[in-house]
Amino acid sequence: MIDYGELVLALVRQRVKFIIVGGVAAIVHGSPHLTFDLDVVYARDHENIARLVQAVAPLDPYLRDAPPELPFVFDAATIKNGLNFTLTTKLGDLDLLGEIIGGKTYEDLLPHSDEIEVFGAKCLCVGLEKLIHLKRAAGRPKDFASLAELEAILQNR
Amino acid sequence: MDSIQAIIEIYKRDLDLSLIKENLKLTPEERLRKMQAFANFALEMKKAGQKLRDKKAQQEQRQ
Repeated sequence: MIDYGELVLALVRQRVKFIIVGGVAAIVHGSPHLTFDLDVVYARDHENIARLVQAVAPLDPYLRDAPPELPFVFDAATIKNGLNFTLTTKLGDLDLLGEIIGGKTYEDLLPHSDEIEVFGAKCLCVGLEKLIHLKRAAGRPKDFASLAELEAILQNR
Repeated sequence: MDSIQAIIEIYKRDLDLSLIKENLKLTPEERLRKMQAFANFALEMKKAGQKLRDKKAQQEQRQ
């Protein structure tokens, strides 16, 4: 299952600095294409990592597609020593990206992001033009259809 | 136009623009709520499909 609203609110409630990217960002901009995970780029500063732990640790995060019962602990040390995490949580799959191809970091993406109001909260979502740029930079054939869709949205909005 | 853009232009030919235009009439929250409902539906259908496959496998084992 995925609960887009509760996942976003879990991050907002702890004042995590994050930007929605990926398929959910495409939905925000008008894509009719379904996605089953939430991808966010998060700020890597000390305070934000602490907030991220407070927000996500209660959601029973675990490494997606990893064997069960590995000694994975979602804490500040793990996040500081890692960068990008693809997780399962009790609210759905969550990808936490410290850096993203083509967009670099949270700070790099910030000027290319829009504030949106969803589920009674305000959060940031990467802008449509930047989302297209990120998908082009990723260079994955699976994104071609999505890119066609996003460019059509840009032309029709 | 680079070769990747040429590929994207080919994909554009098969787009259902009516779906996009309908979505553009909604707010971002309405779009997310619509996808949430669809995600719930898709997961229910996935579960139903799995049950069906399990049932068929059991029936085949009995035969």
